Amino acid sequence: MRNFLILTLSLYILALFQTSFLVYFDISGYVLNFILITVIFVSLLENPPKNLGISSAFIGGFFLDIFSENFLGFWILISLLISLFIKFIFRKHVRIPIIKRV
Amino acid sequence: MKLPPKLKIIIAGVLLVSFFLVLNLTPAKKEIKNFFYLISSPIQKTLWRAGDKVSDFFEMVKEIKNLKKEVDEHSFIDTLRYAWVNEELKLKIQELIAENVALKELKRENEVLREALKAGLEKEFKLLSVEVIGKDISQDSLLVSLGSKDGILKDSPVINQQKALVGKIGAIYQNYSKVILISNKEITFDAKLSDAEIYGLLKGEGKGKLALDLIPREKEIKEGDLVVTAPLGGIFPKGLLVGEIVKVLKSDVKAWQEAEISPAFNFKELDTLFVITNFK
Repeated sequence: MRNFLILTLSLYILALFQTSFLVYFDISGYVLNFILITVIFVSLLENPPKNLGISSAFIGGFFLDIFSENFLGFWILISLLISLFIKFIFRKHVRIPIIKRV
Repeated sequence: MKLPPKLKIIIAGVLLVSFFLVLNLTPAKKEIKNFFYLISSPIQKTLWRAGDKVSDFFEMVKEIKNLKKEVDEHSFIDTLRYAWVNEELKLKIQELIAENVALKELKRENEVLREALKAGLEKEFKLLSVEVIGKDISQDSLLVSLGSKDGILKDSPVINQQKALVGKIGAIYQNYSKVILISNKEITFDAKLSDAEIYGLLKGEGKGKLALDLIPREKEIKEGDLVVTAPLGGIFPKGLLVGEIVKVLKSDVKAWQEAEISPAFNFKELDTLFVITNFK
């Protein structure tokens, strides 16, 4: 529960940071998507029985949807697909030795 | 009955998609967004101002580096030259200090002029002043501080203090509204050159870019020509500054010519805007 709360708060702050601060540092109109990077990292680092990756994808996607012009659910679906891909396909077939599961 | 895991995932996916479909079709979406904008706007504003300052700082550092590079190119010949460069730099610093003082003066003057312009604008249009609290460059949209409870209406034109067209109101929430910039791909409207009866179709190209299309081939247009809104179409009031032609694209196989337009506003500098409430 504690991890979940920390994750929610961090993702909220990241979403605000991304949509308010980083817009000034775009590269040809594209802004670095910290939420997606976080989702990828959490999905890669978590222990398979845990669902923190999927939770982070849902919460992060939700915050991105709130602060963007897209329909609600757009980023949630994208980040969920990425997280599920890492959890069920990528990690089954690819082993990265430097990644230590937490 | 125990469902297989794959089926569980499929069912969860279908339920999730249906949930969002329903959510987007009901007013709940606006309520949720409004709630988050309400609790986030003070932090957003702070972060946004910080971003502005940091980006200004980096631009200044870049300018100093360019200046240094320029000086270095002249300073490798001999020590005498170094001394000369040093003198030159001292002069440059003095020059910059003087320029800085002049710029500060200009800034003050600009603020006064802005107010004057605002007063002038208010004679022409009924305006509501809004503050930008969020920017989304990838979607060419802004979040501004007034919403439906302040009388903001959908599709109202949005301009800046220089009477340059910025965009129109898109989604409206109770306390906030989204401004769709003219560079958004959804936007097209009639525009003309400010000093000639040459008309074209202005299209948002996304990522802050604009293009003026369907200009008759035989018409003479050149870089630097100013583009304003045309009275046709009725989406925006006529005579609002849109931008400046930066490149003319003429092809022998096309019946029309096209031009790249640089918007009259700087996305990063948008701070206070005006919503025209008496148009249409």
